[in-house]
Amino acid sequence: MTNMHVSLPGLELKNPIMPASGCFGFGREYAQFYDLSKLGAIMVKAVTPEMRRGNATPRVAETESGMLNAIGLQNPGLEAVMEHELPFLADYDVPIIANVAGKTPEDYVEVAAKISQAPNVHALELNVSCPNVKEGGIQFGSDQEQLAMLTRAVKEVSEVPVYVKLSPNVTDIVGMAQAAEHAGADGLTMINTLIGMQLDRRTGKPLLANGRGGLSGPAIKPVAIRMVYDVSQAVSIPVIGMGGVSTAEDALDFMYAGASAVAVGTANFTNPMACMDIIHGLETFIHTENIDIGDIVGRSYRACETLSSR
Amino acid sequence: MMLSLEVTSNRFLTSDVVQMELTSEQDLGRGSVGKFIHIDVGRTLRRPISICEVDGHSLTIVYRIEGTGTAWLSERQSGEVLNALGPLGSGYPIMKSGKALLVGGGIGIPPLLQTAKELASNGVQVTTILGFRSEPFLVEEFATYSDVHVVTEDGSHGTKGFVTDVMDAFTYDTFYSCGPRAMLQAVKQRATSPGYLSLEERMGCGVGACLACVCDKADGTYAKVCTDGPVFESEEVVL
Repeated sequence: MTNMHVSLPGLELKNPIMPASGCFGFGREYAQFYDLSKLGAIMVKAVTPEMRRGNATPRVAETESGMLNAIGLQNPGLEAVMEHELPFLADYDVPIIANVAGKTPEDYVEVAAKISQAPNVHALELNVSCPNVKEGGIQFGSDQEQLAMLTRAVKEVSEVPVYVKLSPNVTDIVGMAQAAEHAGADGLTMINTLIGMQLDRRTGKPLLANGRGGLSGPAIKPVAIRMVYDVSQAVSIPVIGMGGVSTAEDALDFMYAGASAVAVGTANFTNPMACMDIIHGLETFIHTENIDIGDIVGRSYRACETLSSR
Repeated sequence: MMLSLEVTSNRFLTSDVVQMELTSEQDLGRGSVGKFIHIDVGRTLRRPISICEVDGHSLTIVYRIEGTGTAWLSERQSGEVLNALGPLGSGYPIMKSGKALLVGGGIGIPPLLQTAKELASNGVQVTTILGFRSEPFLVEEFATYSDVHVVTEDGSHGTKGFVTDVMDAFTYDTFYSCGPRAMLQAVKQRATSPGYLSLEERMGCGVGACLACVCDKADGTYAKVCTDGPVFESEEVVL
């Protein structure tokens, strides 16, 4: 049997594939399609201290090759997640990455301190890149000093390694990545959605009630690949890559670009079996090529170095 | 849950409303009334389409061409196989006796056909009000199971006006309604009894994970249209 095991801070992954936060709820819905224990990990939906209602509908719109969303971090709040959602996932042999969000640094610290104590939470993902909320979210993810401050504060209270989810909506993604690394981040997850709009062809009004939304899906993959490629060479902490992954080939591209593991987002909506299909496809590739899963990570820039040194 | 549906026919009922008949390997049987299927149309998102008629392995959907996804669907030929999830959601509870009023508007009309059929088979006395902008469809089919009243906005067929203009003429124990939100609001307000509303909302996953298709409930919480609905008790939701 092909060895797909990947070792990352806090995470011993059976395989490098996991559903991305916000695209998988807390796992219940997809548990009716397959055994969640087959996933590398699960990045659960963002958790804030109190219950959040999210934005008005319509909250999603389709674009030419992607999806816009403006859910607005709707979630039942820290207490309900700890009591009802995480125990459900404890029945599965799969590490959980808890996505931590809030309006203020105190919110992040509160959620991080408590949720990192849950027995099946193996890592945190700092949500500093959600473009769909007025307070918190991206304000922390677009300023290097604020990002470093928040990362330090959460690192201080967290019982588990902390991954910082980077936003592509910045001019210097490498600078943001390095700021997170210097502040003690154990890893990076990237990218979150790109801010976009889609207008109604008849009325000219935005299709989303929120106006702007986060663009995901195949449309953003080249942007994500470029960013993973640039960042993974500039930091020494691991990167979990995401952005438009729908096939095993897409996942492979992210690993070539330097990602140690890969998250699947919007593709779960089109194909509930997406993660399983990608795991099988990757397994077949590794087996056929007779290589180690680690050999493919960063192959693209190693190849480029060889080219440029000639 | 995952369905392979073979297209057996796909024909236009009006200039932009299409009826597609499908066969399923799985027995979808009864109990699917008011539910929907989430169809892969080769795009980023699936399209939620309500079930118009279902009988064992055969299924009919009636949809309006609104964009690229439904346009693609309208081009499918007999023999082609579609991938769908479903039947999804919770549908209409079917009364066992008494009088039912069905009120449908536009592309909200199709899911009421199976409803009418099942109500009639229970011996319920069914009255249907069908509201169209201009071109009616499925009127004869509804006439098989119910007393039908057609209303058009332009007055080209039936009574000129809105469905609510004729509602007062009937007595009923329960109403069943599906249509645009503004119509559902008006129907709920006008109705003389409690009933059921089927809501339409833009969806992401269709299975309750993405939280795109929420609606407000009277108790201040949110419901998911895809899994808690699309059918709700009229007093349960705030429109």
